[in-house]
Amino acid sequence: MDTTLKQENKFLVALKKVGRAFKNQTFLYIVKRVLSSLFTLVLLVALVTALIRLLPDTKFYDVATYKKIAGTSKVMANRWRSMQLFLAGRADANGNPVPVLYSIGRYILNILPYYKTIPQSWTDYSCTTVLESWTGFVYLGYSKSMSSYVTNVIASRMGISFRISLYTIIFSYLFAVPLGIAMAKKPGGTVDKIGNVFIVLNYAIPGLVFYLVMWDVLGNANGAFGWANFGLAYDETRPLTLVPPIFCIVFLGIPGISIWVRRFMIDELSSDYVKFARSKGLSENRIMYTHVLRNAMVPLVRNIPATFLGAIIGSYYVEKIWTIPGTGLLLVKALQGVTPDIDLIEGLTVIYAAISMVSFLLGDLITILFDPRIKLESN
Amino acid sequence: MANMKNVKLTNPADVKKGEVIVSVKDLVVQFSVRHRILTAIRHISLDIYKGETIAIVGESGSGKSVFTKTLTGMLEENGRISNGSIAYAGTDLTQFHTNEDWLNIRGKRIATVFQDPMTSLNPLRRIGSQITEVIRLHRGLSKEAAKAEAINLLKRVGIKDAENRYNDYPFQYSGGMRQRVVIAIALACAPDILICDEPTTALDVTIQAQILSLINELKQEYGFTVIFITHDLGVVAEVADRVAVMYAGQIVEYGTVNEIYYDPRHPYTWSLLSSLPQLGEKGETLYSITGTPPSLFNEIKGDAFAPRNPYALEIDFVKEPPMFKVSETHYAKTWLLDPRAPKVERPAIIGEISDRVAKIYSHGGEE
Ligand SMILES: Nc1ncnc2c1ncn2[C@@H]1O[C@H](COP(=O)(O)OP(=O)(O)OP(=O)(O)O)[C@@H](O)[C@H]1O
Ligand SMILES: [Mg+2]
Repeated sequence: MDTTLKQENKFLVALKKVGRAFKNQTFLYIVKRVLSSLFTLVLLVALVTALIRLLPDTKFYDVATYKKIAGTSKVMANRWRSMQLFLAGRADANGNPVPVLYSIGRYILNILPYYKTIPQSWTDYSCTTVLESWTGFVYLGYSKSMSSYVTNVIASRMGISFRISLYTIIFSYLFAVPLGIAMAKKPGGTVDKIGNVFIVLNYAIPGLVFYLVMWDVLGNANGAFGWANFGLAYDETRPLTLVPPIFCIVFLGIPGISIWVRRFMIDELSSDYVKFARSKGLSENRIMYTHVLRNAMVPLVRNIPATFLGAIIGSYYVEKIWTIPGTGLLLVKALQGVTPDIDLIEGLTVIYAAISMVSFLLGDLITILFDPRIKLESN
Repeated sequence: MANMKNVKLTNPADVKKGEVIVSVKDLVVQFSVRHRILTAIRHISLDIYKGETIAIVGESGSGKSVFTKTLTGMLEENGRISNGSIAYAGTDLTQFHTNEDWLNIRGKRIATVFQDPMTSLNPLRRIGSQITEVIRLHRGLSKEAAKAEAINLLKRVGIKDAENRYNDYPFQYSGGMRQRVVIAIALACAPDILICDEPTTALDVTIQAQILSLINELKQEYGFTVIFITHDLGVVAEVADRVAVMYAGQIVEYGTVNEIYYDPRHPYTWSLLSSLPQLGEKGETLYSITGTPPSLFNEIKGDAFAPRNPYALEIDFVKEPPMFKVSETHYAKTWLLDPRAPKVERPAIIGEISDRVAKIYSHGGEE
């Protein structure tokens, strides 16, 4: 009797907890944000799919192949073509065009994360007996240019881009924030002046030129850094080969962070609470590190997730120069072939959109952590 | 330059109540503003006595804030003390230059309460930590002891439920409560001198009264000296023992509250008194000041108030008046007090005003 009561109580407590979580503004806010992000994503998919439907059918199969088959059998060729169009979601199994809404609905079902089986080839052209199929949660189609499923293509390339962006972010902030602080300590002073010269020069260097020069200077075995053996191309067995590209991105990224740190710090330093802190007898360093820095970082941290996730998308030049198999080159590759790699393009679009939504949300959440004044409204 | 950080300050207890605690002599403060020199304080001399509340009044721009900032080295980068001395605790404060020099004075010996409580506190740090950081720094208490002390202080300044509100952020407090917190921080190190720079201007009237009486109470309890800046002579009657009236960077008259209210001698004081909003009656035209104060960029010839003074004498435009002694405690800087000056009746309204002041503030006339 007693024990059942206790158990009931435990259950009630748990229920109350869930209830409270739902009442919690922040939680509600996150739920709403996630839902509205998903809605935006669906809209985007609809739009992109509708646009793709506007493309002529010839973009979805290789006309030369069609002609080759047609050389032997016109019927076979037409069947082959309708299957290509069926796979592209533009026609039903009989080769009749489907409504746009159907294409959209199909794509959305495909990206909804539930376990599904999607047939890829059949023993016959009327698509009755399945030969092989794809199984998994999120289906983004098949990349012709990479001869692999889009999800596999992106997943296999995301890793290296992710690593590069992680290091880049860490080192950028590690160097840029102290530089910004040092400059803000005495605006117009020596450090500030030197920092400004560095920033202006840095901005003046064209990125591509800097990459190419550094590629040679750092990587050339006979050059000044030959001893370090960084190499001219990325080699996954030698992490050191990542040093030149990361150095370049960090170096060029420093001004963009430093000038904001400096500016936010100076803004904060002129505020009343700093004067009051000074009148309390706190030393300048103490004021700098226990009051000003944190406040100045609030507007900055908001951008960290976006910068981080943005970097995952990759940098075309960096990947091209150091031959890094990251995501940066994918979009260009997808557009280069005889027929555009439509699945890859649409897949990348959806993934990039999802990434930016997640990073906005993360940015907001981090801001809440740093700034107690911000109360999230769930409406 | 000598490092003033390690200067030995005398013990606050060495100065007895009623003795001179701060002695300012011939102080001049200048700012450089785009290659021009602005003289904000022009040869001020003033003694401040331990345990008193001295009010500094004067219209906006007269130099009240700049004057008190020199006591804690809070002048902006472009300002400097170009003449004079400030004797305090056995040392001359004008010898202090860097922020480091001042660390033993600020907060610990001389604390300041600023005008705007909404911006005086760091919006992103908890109330409690903003109090304990001073306690731990100046008094070296442990974390727990500092917290207990901070809660005591919060209670003392009238924050209800202090234990729970200790962890709040400033935005969760109203303006009046924030000013209480600011006062608690100022009190945290039991300072010798508390400078209040218009502490109630940003608050609404009922809250103003509460804060004023809080400051008065705390002063009785802790026995510190208060320098109270305001441009509202009405507030003065409620808090001050003595009043110094400032005009264009100078002290033009000072005396006890009674002397200033019932026997003001400087025409500028007359005009200040007669423009008291609390005293005006409907439809009544008060004696009011016309014109604007002189530019502090130029050298001022004669009496700075002369161009706006209906009682100005010829000499006022030529020669600066000295401080004339009215009584042991009452001095005024106007040629009207010279024995050779023609007898000038002060405006009748001033007499009435004094009566009205007496009626409104029972404080007057008793002491
Ligand atoms: N940092 C500065 N640079 C230049 N001029 C200044 C500076 N600080 C103050 N001043 C000038 O000094 C004069 C006195 O200013 P102060 O702030 O002391 O006036 P106040 O009597 O406190 O006025 P308020 O009642 O408006 O606070 C003003 O003319 C002001 O313009
Ligand atoms: Mg002021």
